[in-house]
Amino acid sequence: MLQVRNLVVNYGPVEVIHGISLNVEKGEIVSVLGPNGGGKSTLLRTIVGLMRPQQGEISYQAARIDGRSPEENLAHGIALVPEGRRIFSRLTVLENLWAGAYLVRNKRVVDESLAFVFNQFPILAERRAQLGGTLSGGQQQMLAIGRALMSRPQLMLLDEPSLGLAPILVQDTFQLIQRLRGEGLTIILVEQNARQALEISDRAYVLASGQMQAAGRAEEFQKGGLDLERAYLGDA
Amino acid sequence: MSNWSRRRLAVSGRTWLVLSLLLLLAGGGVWLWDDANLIRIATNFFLLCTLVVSLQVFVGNSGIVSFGHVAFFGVGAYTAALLTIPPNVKERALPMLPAILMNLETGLVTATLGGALVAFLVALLTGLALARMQEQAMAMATLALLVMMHAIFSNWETVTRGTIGLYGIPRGINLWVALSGIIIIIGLALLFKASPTGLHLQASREQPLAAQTIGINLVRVRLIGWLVSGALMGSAGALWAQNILAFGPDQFYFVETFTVLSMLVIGGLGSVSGAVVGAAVVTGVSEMLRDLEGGFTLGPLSIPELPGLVQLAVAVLIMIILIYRPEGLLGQREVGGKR
Amino acid sequence: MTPELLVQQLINALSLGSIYALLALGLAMVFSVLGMLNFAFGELVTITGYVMFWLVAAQTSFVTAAVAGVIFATLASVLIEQIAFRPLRRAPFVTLLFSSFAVAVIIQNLIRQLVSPRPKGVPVPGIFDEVWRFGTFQIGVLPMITLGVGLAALGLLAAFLQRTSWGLAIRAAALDFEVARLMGIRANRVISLAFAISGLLAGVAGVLWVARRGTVTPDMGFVPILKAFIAVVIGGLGNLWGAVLGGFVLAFLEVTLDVVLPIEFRPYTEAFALIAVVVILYFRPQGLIAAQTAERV
Ligand SMILES: Nc1ncnc2c1ncn2[C@@H]1O[C@H](COP(=O)(O)OP(=O)(O)OP(=O)(O)O)[C@@H](O)[C@H]1O
Ligand SMILES: [Mg+2]
Repeated sequence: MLQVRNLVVNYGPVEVIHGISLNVEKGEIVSVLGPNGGGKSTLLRTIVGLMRPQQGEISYQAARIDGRSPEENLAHGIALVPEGRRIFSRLTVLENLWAGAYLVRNKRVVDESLAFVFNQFPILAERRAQLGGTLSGGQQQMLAIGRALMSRPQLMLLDEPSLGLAPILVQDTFQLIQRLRGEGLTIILVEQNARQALEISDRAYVLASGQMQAAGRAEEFQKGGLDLERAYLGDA
Repeated sequence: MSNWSRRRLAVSGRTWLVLSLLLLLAGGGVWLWDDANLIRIATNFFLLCTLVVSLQVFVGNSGIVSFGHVAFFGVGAYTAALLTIPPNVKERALPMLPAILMNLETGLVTATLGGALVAFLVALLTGLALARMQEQAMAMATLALLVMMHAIFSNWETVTRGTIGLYGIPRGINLWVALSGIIIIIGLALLFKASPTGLHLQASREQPLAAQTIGINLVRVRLIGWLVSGALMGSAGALWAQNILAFGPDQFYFVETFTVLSMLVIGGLGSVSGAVVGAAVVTGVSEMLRDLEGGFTLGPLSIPELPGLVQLAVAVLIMIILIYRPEGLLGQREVGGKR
Repeated sequence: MTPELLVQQLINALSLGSIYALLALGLAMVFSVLGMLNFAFGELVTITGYVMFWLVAAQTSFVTAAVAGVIFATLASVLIEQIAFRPLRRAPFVTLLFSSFAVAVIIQNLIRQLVSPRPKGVPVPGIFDEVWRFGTFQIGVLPMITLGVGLAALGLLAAFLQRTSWGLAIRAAALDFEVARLMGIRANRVISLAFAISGLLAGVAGVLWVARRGTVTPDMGFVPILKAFIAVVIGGLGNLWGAVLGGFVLAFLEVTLDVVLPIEFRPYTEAFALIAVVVILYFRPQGLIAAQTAERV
C-alpha cells in the first residue's frame, strides 16, 4: 500500500534521514521503533507531506506522492496523529472533531463518523462542549485519534500515541489500534514502548541515527531472532 | 558565564581597520577632488552611517525590529541643539527656557556626549518595560515610543519650539569630524558585537529558548543592547544636528525610521559592515533619483514632479532584496572577516 | 460631570472603540494565522479612502462609494499577500515585517505620484453632522452610525467564525497552522481567506474613519495601523477576541484621558495613552488575555 524508497530528509543543511526504505501492506500494523532523535517523527512528517524529501520516492497505492501536500494526502486517505497530540486547545471537543472532518462535504457522513468516534470514546461524547485544552492527557489522546478518524482515512500514522499515558491507558490505546485495524485501517505506529508495540504489530522497523537498523516480523524481534537492543544502538 | 574572547576581538579589530581604511580612502578621495557638492554628500553619508550603525547594535544583535530608535536620534539632536545654540539666539527663539539651559554654550564633544547621555536616560526609562516584552509586542512598543517622542518634540514649546523647530546651531561638523565620528561608532558597535553580552544577545536571537536554558538572562542582555544602541543613536543625532543647523520634529518620524531601517535591511541586519553598505546603496540611489524627483525634461517630454520617488524606489529595492537575498547584501558577514 | 456629558462620552468611546476593534481584529486575523504583523494593513484603510474619494467625486452616492471601498480593500489585501508575502512564506518574522513595511511605503508613494501628495476632501452626507436630541440628551448621528455599523460587522464576523466551516478552518489555523493542514485545510486558501477578512475589516473601519475625517491623505493609514497594533498588543497577540477587547480598552483610555487631562496636556493624550499601554504591558507582558500561540506544542 505504501512504499518508501531511499528516502533522504534534511532540516535546512542538516541531513537527518540518510536513505531509508520501508513498505507497508494493506491491513497491516507496522511499528517504527527507535531511540529519541532517530528520525521517526521526521519520517512520518515526510510521508504525509509536511516536509519535502531531499531524495527518494514515496508511493501510495501505486502513485508517487512525494511532493504532495498534507491536504492532498489526507484527501487520498493518509492521516497523521502528530506527536504530542496537538489538539486545538481553544476549540471545543466537537469543533476539534469537525475540523478533522473538514474535507468531508456530506453532512450525513460526518454524523456517521461522529457516532463512530463517540462510540469508541464515550467520554468525548460527554465532554463534547468542553474546550479541548481542558481535557486530561488521556482524553486529549483519544480526541487526537478521534479527530484523525473523522476524515475516514485508509492509512493512519500514529506518532507515539502512548506518550505520557498511564500504563492502563497505554493498554487501552493499543487495544484501540487493534480494533481500528479490524475496521479495515492500515496503521504505521511510531513507539518508544517497543515491547507493547511489538505485541500488536505484524512487522517492525528500527530507525536509529536516521538509518534503518533492522526490519522483520514482530515475532522475530520478540523471540530474539533479531536483536532489538543492538539495533537501537545502531550496530545491528 | 563566558568572558571576552581574544579571537573575536582580533577579528573585530581587523574588520574595524578595514572599514576605517575604506571610509578614510573615500573621505580622502572626496577631499582631494575638492568639489563642494561631493563633500556635502560624503559628510551626510558618514553621518547617516553613524545612525544606521547605532541602530544595528540593537536590531542586528537582538533580531528585534525597533521602530523607535529615531526617537533617540531626535533626543540627541535636541540635546545638542540646546547645548550649542548661542545664548543670544536662545533668548529670541526660546524665551521661556530655564536659566541653566539658557546660558549653556558648549563645544562639539560635550554636545555629542550630552546627546548620548540624555538618549541613554530615555532608553533606560523605556527599556525597563520594553525588554520584558515578547519579540512582537516589543516591535510594537518601539513604534509607540516613536509616536510618544514625536508628540513631545512637537508640543513641548518651551524647550523644542514645537512644530517650528530649532535653528541657529553652530556648525561643528566638517568632513573629517564626520569621518572620525563614524569610525569611533563603528569601533564601538564592533566591540559590542564581540562582547559577551553581544554574543548572548545574538544567541537569544537565534534560539531564544535554548539561550535561556543555558543561563542567559534575556531581559538583561536585551536591556543592555537597547541602552548601548540608544546612547550611540543619541550621539549620532547630536552630530547630525551640528551639521544640519536647523531642524523640526517631523525630521524624527516615520520617513526617517523607514530610511534607516531600509538601509539596515539592504545591507544585512547581522553585520556592522552591512549597515555601512546599506547606507551607501541607499545614498547612491537617492542621489541619482533626487534630480528626477524635482521634475525634469527628457527631450520633448516634460516629466512633472515626482514626489516620493526616492522612497518608492528604496521600498521596491527592499522587496527585491528580501525575496532574492533575505539576509541582505552582506548577510552575517563582516568585511575583513574570515567569511 | 453631568449625566448628559457622561452618556455622550460613553457613546464616543464606544463608537471609537468599535473602529479600533475592527482594525485590531483585522490585524490580529493575519497575525494569528501567519504569525506576521502586517504593516501594510493601514494602507488598506488608505485604499478604501481613495476609492471613496474617486467615486464620490464622480457623483456616486456615499453608500455605493463605501461599498466599493470595502470591496477594493478586500481585493487589495488578498492581492498584496499573493505578490509580496507568498514568496516569503517561510521567512522569519523580521523579514515579513520589513516586507509589509516596504509594501506600505510603496502604496503610500504610488498614491502620492498618481493622485496627489496633498489632502483631498471626501464630502460626507449632511446627516452625519446632525445631532439627535432626547430631552436634555444630545447624541451625534455619526457616532451612532459608527457604533451600529461596527457592532454589526463584528457580529457578522463572529457568526461567520463560529458557525461556518470556513470560520472553523480559520480558527483552527490560528491555533496550530500545521495541524490545520493535517486536517485537510489548504494552507494557501486559509491564508487568502484570512487576508480577505482582514481587508474587509480594514475597509469597513476605513469607511467609518473617512466619515469622521472627511479627508484622505497618502499617509492616512499610519494612525489606524498604530491603533490596531496597540489594541492587538493590549488584547494579547494572536488572540482574536482579545484584539476586539483591546480596541475598546484603548478607546476608553483615550476618551477618559481627553476628559480628565487639563487643556494644556491635550496634545499629549496619545502619548499618555501609549504610556498607559506600556504600563499594562509591563505588568502583563502577554497582554490582557494570554496569546493562544503560547500554548502551541
Ligand atoms: N525542526 C527541526 N530543526 C532541526 N532539526 C530537527 C528539527 N526537528 C527534528 N530535528 C532533528 O532531527 C533528528 C530527528 O528528529 P525526530 O523528531 O524525527 O526524531 P524522533 O525519532 O521522532 O525522536 P523522539 O523519539 O524523541 O520523538 C533529531 O536529531 C532532531 O534533533
Ligand atoms: Mg518523535
